[in-house]
Order: sequence, then C-alpha cells, then structure tokens
Amino acid sequence: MTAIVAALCALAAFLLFGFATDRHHELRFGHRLTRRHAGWYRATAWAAIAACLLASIGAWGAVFGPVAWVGLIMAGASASFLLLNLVPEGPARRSNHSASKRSTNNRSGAVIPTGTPVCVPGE
Amino acid sequence: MTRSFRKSQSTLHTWSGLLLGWVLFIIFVAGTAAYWRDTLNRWMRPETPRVEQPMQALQHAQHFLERKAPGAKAWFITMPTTETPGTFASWIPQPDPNAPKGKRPRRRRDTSVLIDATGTPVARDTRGGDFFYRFHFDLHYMPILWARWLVGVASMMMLVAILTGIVIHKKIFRDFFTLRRAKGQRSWLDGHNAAAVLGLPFHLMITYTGLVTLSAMLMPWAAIANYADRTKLYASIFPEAGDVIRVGHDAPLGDLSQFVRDGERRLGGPIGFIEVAEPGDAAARVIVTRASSAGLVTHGERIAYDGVTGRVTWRSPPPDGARTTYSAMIGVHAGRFGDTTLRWLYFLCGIGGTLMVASGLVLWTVKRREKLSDPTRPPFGFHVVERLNIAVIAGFPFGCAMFFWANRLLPLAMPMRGDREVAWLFMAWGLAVVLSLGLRPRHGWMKLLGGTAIALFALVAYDFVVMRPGLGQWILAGDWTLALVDGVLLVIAAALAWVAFRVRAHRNRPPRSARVRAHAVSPADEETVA
Amino acid sequence: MTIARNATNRTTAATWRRRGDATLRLLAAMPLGYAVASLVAMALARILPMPAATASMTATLVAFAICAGAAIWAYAASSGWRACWTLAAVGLVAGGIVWLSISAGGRL
Repeated sequence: MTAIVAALCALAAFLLFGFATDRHHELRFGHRLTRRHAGWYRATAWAAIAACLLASIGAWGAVFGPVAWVGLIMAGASASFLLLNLVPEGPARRSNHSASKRSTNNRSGAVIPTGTPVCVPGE
Repeated sequence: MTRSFRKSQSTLHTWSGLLLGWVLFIIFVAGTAAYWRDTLNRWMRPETPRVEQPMQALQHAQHFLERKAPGAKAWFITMPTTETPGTFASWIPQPDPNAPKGKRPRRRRDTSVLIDATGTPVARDTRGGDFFYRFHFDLHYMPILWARWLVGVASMMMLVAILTGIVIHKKIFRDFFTLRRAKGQRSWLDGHNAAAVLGLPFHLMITYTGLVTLSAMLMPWAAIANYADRTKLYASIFPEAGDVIRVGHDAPLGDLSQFVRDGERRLGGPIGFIEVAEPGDAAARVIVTRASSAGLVTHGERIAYDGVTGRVTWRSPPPDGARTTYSAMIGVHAGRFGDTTLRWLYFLCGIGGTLMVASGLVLWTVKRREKLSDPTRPPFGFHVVERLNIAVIAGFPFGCAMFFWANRLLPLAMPMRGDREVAWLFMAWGLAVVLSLGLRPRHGWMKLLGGTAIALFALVAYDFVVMRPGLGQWILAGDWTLALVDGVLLVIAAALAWVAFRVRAHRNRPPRSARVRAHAVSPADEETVA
Repeated sequence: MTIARNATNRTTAATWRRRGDATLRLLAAMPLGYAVASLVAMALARILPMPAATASMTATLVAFAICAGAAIWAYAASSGWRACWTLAAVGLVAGGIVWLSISAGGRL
C-alpha cells in the first residue's frame, strides 16, 4: 500500500514539473502560467518527491528504501514524459491551441503549419 | 561553459559512444534479460514442476547426490527456491592419482546437474536465463579474459559517454519534457536525451558498478601497491574456512535441510548456497552461505558445521569496509535483493539503457545523412555504421528470438542440446548480418525487426496452443511469473512491429540545404547540441 | 603557380598538425589516462589513512573516476601536447609517492 503511495507521489511530482513548463501547460490548458504559479507547481512537486522518499523507506526499509526511491523517481519521470508527450490533446483543446498559435507573436516569423500537432521546443 | 569546451566534449561523446556502441548494445540487451535469470531458467524448462517446498527439494537433491557422487571431494549446491526450476548441484570427484598430468579437465556437464522438485534430473539441457547473465560479461566463442577486457573497456567508454553527455546537454532541466515529433534528427536527439536523462541515476550506477565488478582485472594496481601477495587481500575480503583433510572412514552426512534451517536461524536470513567437503567421510564439513537476495551485500555470511555431528566449527568474520563496499556495489548492480517491484524497475531501467544506446547509434547516421553533400554516395564510415546498426540492433534481438525457438523445438535427447541452442542464436544472428549487408538499409531494418516481431508473436502462440504445460496452464495455475514472460515477449513483439511499420512509412528527409531553402528555419528550432 | 603550390603546402601542414593533435589527445585519453589513473590509485592506496584492504578498495573506486576524468581532460585541454604533459606530470608525482612509500614501508 505504502509502495503504491510512493509511486503515485513520484508520478504526481513529475506531472507537476511538466505542467510547470510553459509549453505543456499551454498545450493542455490553453494558457501560460505566471511565474508565481509555476513556482508553486514546482514547490509542490519537490514536496511530492520528499514524500516519495519517506513512503519508500516506509515500504522497503532503511536500506532498500532509497534504492526503491531512485527507481520510482525514474519511473515517475518516464511515465510523466510519456503521458505529457504521447497522450493526444482533445479536439477542443487542439483548436484552442491552434488559435493561440496563430495569434501568438512568433519571434522569428517561422512558418509553422497550423492544425498539425507540433511540439515547439522550449525557450 | 565555453563553446570550444562543449564542442570538444561533444566530439569525445560521439567517439566514445560510437566505437564500441554495438558491444554496449548487446551487453545491455543481455544484462536486462539477466534480471529475469531465474524466471527464464524456469520458462526455458517448461515441463519442470514448480518448487513448492524448497526444503523437500533440497532433501531430494541430497539423496540424488548420495547416489550419483557418494565419494566426491566436494559438493556445491545452490539452494532451490520457489523462483528456481530446482536445485543446481555440481561436484568435484576425488583427484585420481593415476591420471596423467595435464589431462584435459573434465567437462562441467559431467559433474553438474539440475535436480527438479521431485528429485529427478531435469531432462531438458539448456543454458536458460544463465546464458544471458554470463553473456553480458563473458560474451561467447572467445576466451573469457578477452571478453571481460572488451566489456571493461566498453564500460569505461560508456562512463565517459554518460559524463560527457551530461556536460554537453544544454538546458537539461528546461528541456526535460521535450519531445519533438516527426522532425528527423531533432526527434532522434530528443528520444536519445529522454532515454538517457530519465534513467540517468541507473545508467551511471550500472556502468560504474559494472566496472567495479571487473576491477580485479581492470584496475588491480591499488591492490598490488599494498599487497605483494594478492591472495592475502582476497583472504581478507573473502575469508575461507580452510581445507578439509579426508579421514578415510565413512560416516553418514547429516540432513542438509537441518543445516540450512539452523543457518537461517543464526544468520537471520535465507540460505543461498551449500558446500559439502568430503561428503560421506567422518571429516565431512558443511558450509552454508547467506543468500545474495537477503541483502544489498552479495557476499553472504557463512557458517561451517561438522557434517556428521552438526556442531558449528567456524563462522565468517564480520565484513570490513572493503568487503561491504565491494559486495554492496555488486549487489546494487545485480539487483538480486529486490522484490518483484524493484526487479521490474531494474528491468525497465535496463530497457531505457538499451534504447539510449540504440538511439544514439541511429542518431549518428540520421545526423550525418542530413549533412551529406551527396546522399547517394556517403563516405565509407557512414556505410559501416549504418550496416552495423542494422546487424546488431536488429540482428541480435532476432538471434535471441531464434534462441527461444530453439529452446522450444530442439529434441530433448539431442546431445549438447544447451550448446546447440546457443549456436542457433549465433546462426540466426549471422543470417541477420548477411541480410543487413545485402539488403538496402530500409529493407534490412524492416525485414529484421518485422521478422523478430513475427517470431516472437509465433512463439507466444506456440506456448499457448501447442506446448503442454503451456501458457494456458500457467495462467490457470496462477503461475504469473511464467505467464508474464510471454506477456513481455508480446509487448516487445508489438513494439518491434510498430517500429517496422514506421520504417516502412518513412521517407528520408531531404538534406539540410534543400530544407533551408524551402522553409525559413527559426533559431528556436535549432538542436540543443552542436 | 608558385602561390598555388605554397597554399597546398600550408594546407597539408595544417592537416598534419590537426592529425597530430588528435593522435596526442587519443594517446592522452588512453593509454596515458589509464596509466595515470593506475598510478594515482597506487598512491592513494599507500597514503590513505585506513586499513590496507579498505584503502586499496577505495583507491580502486576512485581510479575509475580518474580514468574518465583523464579522457575528458584529454579533449578539453587547449592542445594535445598540453593534455599529454599535464597528465604525465600527475603520473610522475603519483609514481614518485608510490616509489617512496614502498621503499619506506614495503608491501603486505
């Protein structure tokens, strides 16, 4: 049971880290986070990582707990990475996203085809 | 960090990763499979009954050895568990004073046996999961010393590649979640970065601890600096109980399961290994060793008993710093201490490492192809890398699939069956090498990846439909360990099939110069590594 | 035509310089890096204030990091020569410590 809690903490932590980035937040929620809110997301994420360590020690003991913690952190990071990048956006969000892309002041005037799911690299 | 420093490290990263990258790939594939060593040992002997009562299995094994090798000099018994197919046992016969010196050493198979839970030797001769375990540092068809040096050098180059990779990765935190799709080289770069960064603690640990396990051979100098006679160092790290002198009059050996129970009580953990010196003699001695699954430290505590009376005669001294460190490093590399969850985490990390190496090797060709001045006539080095990629990254898994097929199909009575299975792996791999050289690259990838996928799908079907006991029986009996092997093979087959389809749909992107003319490429779109 | 020939000679000289530099860096990374790591490991094993077995083990662990570090330095140094002589200097110092220590104390 505690092991499941630890795993969920790790997953939550990295989802929060991911949503704290502009690109993924905009992709899913349609708007960018303010600096302050992004900071809160990250702080909560770090708290979740600490909780994961405590839960891991609770589930696996003092020696294997930290080993399991590192493993769960990697698993949480990987799962978040896959979820954030491979789960397709809903149709409403996609049109929202395209609209914001068309209206966003594109720094360099690059031609980006609208309507195709393109992950533009971060700043 | 200056630009020239980053550039120099980028060069180092590319070369140290590329030169022995193919060796690293097969080490990773075999090592990742080796995490399921015991499970594969069972899965590749499907008719072997499950060990429900390890102590009973041990007693049967003792009866077998007393019939088969009663006057042996020593017995070595690996304790059976519910995870193993039975009891692995080997023995050393009494030295024959009449045998001429320099006689060819007895083959290991004549003095070793696998005894199943009922006390009968297992009929199916196969290397099982142990093949992958040994292969990942001893390789095959070459002297062990050469293999371990090659693996050692490759591991050091891997360590350099990881460290330089961290150094040259700009914006490692900012771009943590970046995955650009359908963008050629940049997509491959993002994939390579993801596989590397997401599993970075594991990759660093596995490489470093791997070097440490081979350190007696690779870096003996620190030991030599302090010890003129290195056996003294080994004696302090791996203390021995001393020799046993045969007395010459018979006395019955005690019940080994009693020694094991007593050892478990005194050592506070399961017993993994039993050595019996001079069984059947009055001077018999039994040493039980704590299992490596019991803790992080792999070299377990040991207790020696008088084999006839059961009195404790010796106990290994508590480990010093050197032994604890060395054993813990091997322990954390092999992950034998883990429960199922930890074992799965290790396995997934190993897959991540395999993907990291494979994507790096492919990235090299993708990047160079985009920069080619004449795409129809690439330089020789490019050809070499491209073909080796197909031969190894697609070829070795194909060989492994055929290895499993050989395990299922080769007749049980065949002599040297275990070696023949391994030969099938290499023959299939050899065929894959030929295909990778003869077919055009795109077709080479498609055929080999697709062929492996089909072979694995068919294997799972065989396990379900034809083999008895098979996949259906395992599921019905609740033997999920074995059923999941087929499950994982199905997932791997599906993944390989998906990649094969993607290769089929792929059209090479036109070279950089053509694309720059077609679109205005934004600076923000530049790759994160020079 | 004289000008063209001079230009060709200069290009060839630059190519050889570059190849020489690359070779020196490769030599610096390996085998010089391995030799230096081994010598530093021996020196550490002698001078670390712990029991001999633990000192040898610790030194061995450090040696792998030094080997990797030497490879990184071999390519980061401003020239191949600099990479080689700096590593050689470290090796000589370490070797000196080992020789002195063994002459004074002997081995187990």
